[in-house]
Amino acid sequence: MKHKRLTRILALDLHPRSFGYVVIERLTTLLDWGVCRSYRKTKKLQEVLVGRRLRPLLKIWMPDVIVARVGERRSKSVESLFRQMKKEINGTPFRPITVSLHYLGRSKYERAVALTTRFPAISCKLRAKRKPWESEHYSMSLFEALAIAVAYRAGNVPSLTAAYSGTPSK
Amino acid sequence: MATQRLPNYLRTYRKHSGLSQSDISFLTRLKSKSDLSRYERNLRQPSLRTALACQELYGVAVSDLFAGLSDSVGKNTRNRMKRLRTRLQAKVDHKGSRNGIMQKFQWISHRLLEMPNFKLVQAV
Repeated sequence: MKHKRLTRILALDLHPRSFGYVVIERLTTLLDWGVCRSYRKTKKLQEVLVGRRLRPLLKIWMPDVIVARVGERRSKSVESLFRQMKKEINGTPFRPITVSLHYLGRSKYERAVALTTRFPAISCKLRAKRKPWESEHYSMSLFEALAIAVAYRAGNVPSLTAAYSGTPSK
Repeated sequence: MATQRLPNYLRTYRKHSGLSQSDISFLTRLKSKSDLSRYERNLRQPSLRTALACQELYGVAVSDLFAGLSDSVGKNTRNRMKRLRTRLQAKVDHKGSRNGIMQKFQWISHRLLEMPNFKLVQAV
């Protein structure tokens, strides 16, 4: 059957209080995208993000693989969120990747512009380039997640799967 | 890795259109956007009327909108056709070629041959 070989990827860009996500099928089909946030100021913040935001995504899209970026400079809250997510996505291969998204563009904005040309459906989410004194718009996280998915799909990034889950990397 | 198609792609097509759930529910004459949300999350299945409205709206065939569902229904129906064909063949072998039974047998065999990926192997 012609549809037998699909690979659905859920890519996540983690932040202390939010995460951007993108679901792609094959390389070109963008299924879903968005940014999930929580405004809670309690310790249950991560539980909310994982339980109420990530869980429905996993249920709807049933991804074959989940990809998240692992940077060297992560805050404790991101690490905690990362651990919670690992617990939640039990069963689905989880591939933390080291980041080297520079081939898509030097800066986040350049990457976002490059990605909107490839995926015009998300061009409406792209904001004007921020001034140095302005804070980053939360929707940039979505473009970073897409960059992670594209980079993973293109096979340009090394996977740290072995280090995190004990299974050989793709 | 063989991945099955999702039960439906309503959310994908909606997001590509840039319309909200409220807009779509208005266009497809649903009571509220929560109904659409349930369809998108595959908690419920829409009526035939709503499915056809979605087809008209997105310009995509119902079988592509509800791809996974279409696949499973198709597979199920093909299996049942094979079973019925086997039963009819047994009747033909046992009672001889009566007109009605023979006609049914020939029609089902013909339909099965027309289907993609059908192997003419006797179902047990």
